Amino acid sequence: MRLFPFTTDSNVKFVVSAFALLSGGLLLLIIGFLLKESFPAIESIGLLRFFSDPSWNPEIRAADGEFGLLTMIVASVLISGAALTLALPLAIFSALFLEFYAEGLVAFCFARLLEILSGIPSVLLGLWGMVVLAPMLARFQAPGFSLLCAALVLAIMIAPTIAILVTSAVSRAHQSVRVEGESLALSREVQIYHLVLPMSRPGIGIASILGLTRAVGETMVVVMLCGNIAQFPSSIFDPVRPLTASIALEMSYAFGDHRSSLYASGLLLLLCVISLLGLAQIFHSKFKLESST
Amino acid sequence: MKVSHFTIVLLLSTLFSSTPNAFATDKRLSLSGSSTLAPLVSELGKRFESSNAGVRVDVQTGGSSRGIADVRRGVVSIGMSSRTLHPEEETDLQIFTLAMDGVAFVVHKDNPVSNLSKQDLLEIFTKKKTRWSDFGGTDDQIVVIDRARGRSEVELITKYLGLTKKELKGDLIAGENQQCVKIITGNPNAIVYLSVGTAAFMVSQGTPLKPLDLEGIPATTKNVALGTFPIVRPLLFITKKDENALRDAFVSFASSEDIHELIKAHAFVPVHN
Repeated sequence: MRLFPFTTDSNVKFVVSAFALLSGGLLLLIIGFLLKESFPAIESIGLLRFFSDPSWNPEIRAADGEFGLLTMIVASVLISGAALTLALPLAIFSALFLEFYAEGLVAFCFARLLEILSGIPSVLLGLWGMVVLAPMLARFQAPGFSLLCAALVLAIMIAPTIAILVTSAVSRAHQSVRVEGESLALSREVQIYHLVLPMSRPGIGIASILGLTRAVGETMVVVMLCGNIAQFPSSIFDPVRPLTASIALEMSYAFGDHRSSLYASGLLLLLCVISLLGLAQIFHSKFKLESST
Repeated sequence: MKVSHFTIVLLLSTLFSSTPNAFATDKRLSLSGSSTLAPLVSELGKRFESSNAGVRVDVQTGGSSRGIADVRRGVVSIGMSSRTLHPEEETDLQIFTLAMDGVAFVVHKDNPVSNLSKQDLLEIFTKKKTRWSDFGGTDDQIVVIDRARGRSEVELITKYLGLTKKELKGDLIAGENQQCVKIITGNPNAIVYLSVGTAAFMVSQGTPLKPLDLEGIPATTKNVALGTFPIVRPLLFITKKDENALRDAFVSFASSEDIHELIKAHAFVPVHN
């Protein structure tokens, strides 16, 4: 018996393509499932009402309730946008620190620290936000659970991942201009500001979009901290309800058209994430173009 | 050894075609549903396992609606529900009342307010009055915590207060009971409505909660049992109408007199059949 049985190319090809098809098929299966489950809502509520109903007051029968998703779409955009705005400077400065200023043991420890931070389970961050951060914010402005609260904790959650991705972009850029930069006796800050940062822009763009995708899709932290009120916020201290929170909050208790409309919001969420990934693809191909010229 | 394509296909198809049920023996009993009932039923399950060798009882939460849906699809044998069934659900299912529970209005232990009338609550939950000083408390803003739509608590209190769900105006919306408990623990100005049993159980565990008297009637298990507390609900087991010896044994075990002490320890009210 041979050590590895799939040695002929045709066998390897079969196994590899079987698993590739399987993973591709899973996505189709999930989309199909969402379509099937949300169809009753789309049929009885109608696509238009998801956008034209003034608010979210779900009922078992479509005619009794209101199923507006606009507040939630706005909330998803605001929370993840705010989280990214908070996380991006942290991530970029961490990456520059790691590539240019940290040395030896400090660099090693900082890199490991980022990896550990990026792996903290979101439920733990959510619990911390619920027990520590929200009561703290409530002392300034009740009720504490708010857009700001969720965005702060989400920023802590996505910053390390973005930092790791930005570090690799920055490091690639640094490697490619190191010799030229040093032979021209450019100072470190000139190298960073005029060479490395402009060159890493596409990489930073991709990192941001991947961070944003994670923020849009994050559920646990958000449902614990955002306050879950479906409204257009008038300040960052107002509670909001993004799409993920809405699904997680109500799915366990929902029935009839209410349940089905939650699947429809899941479908919408998936569309948002797919378009964000599409955007990342555009950045990526732009990056390839730039580096080949 | 040459592994043929056929063998791989066979392997993959056995891996992915077998449903979880295929692994289960008939000595396994699974339940899902209401998070209010789950802690009690988990302990019931342990007792049932120790008196019936070889039996395993699996208890999962996920909400009453999930419990009911799971029973109808045959994924679990028993669904746990803290709400009565919708007419569409009733046709093919059997209902057993395991215990009774109430819905209490709960604040932080440090809140000086200890009694509210129906009118007070109406004003608080529609935001007509927004400060605790209006009700004999501190001069702080009331943080009103509403519950996720579809939960039975929402149905019960809107019915009691004579409001529509749309008229309830919360500052926050919470889902699971434990989420409410955490929010109240961290905010002395918050008020929530919550299972009487869960509130009493958490108080007995040392959590700083205080169930408010409603119209002068203390929100206690005793008053739920006596029927004097105005907001009550049944805690139910839902099953199919088919034959299932193990399931029926568990249901009658759960409704036997011996279990009443356990139900009381969880601060619910046993039902005398």
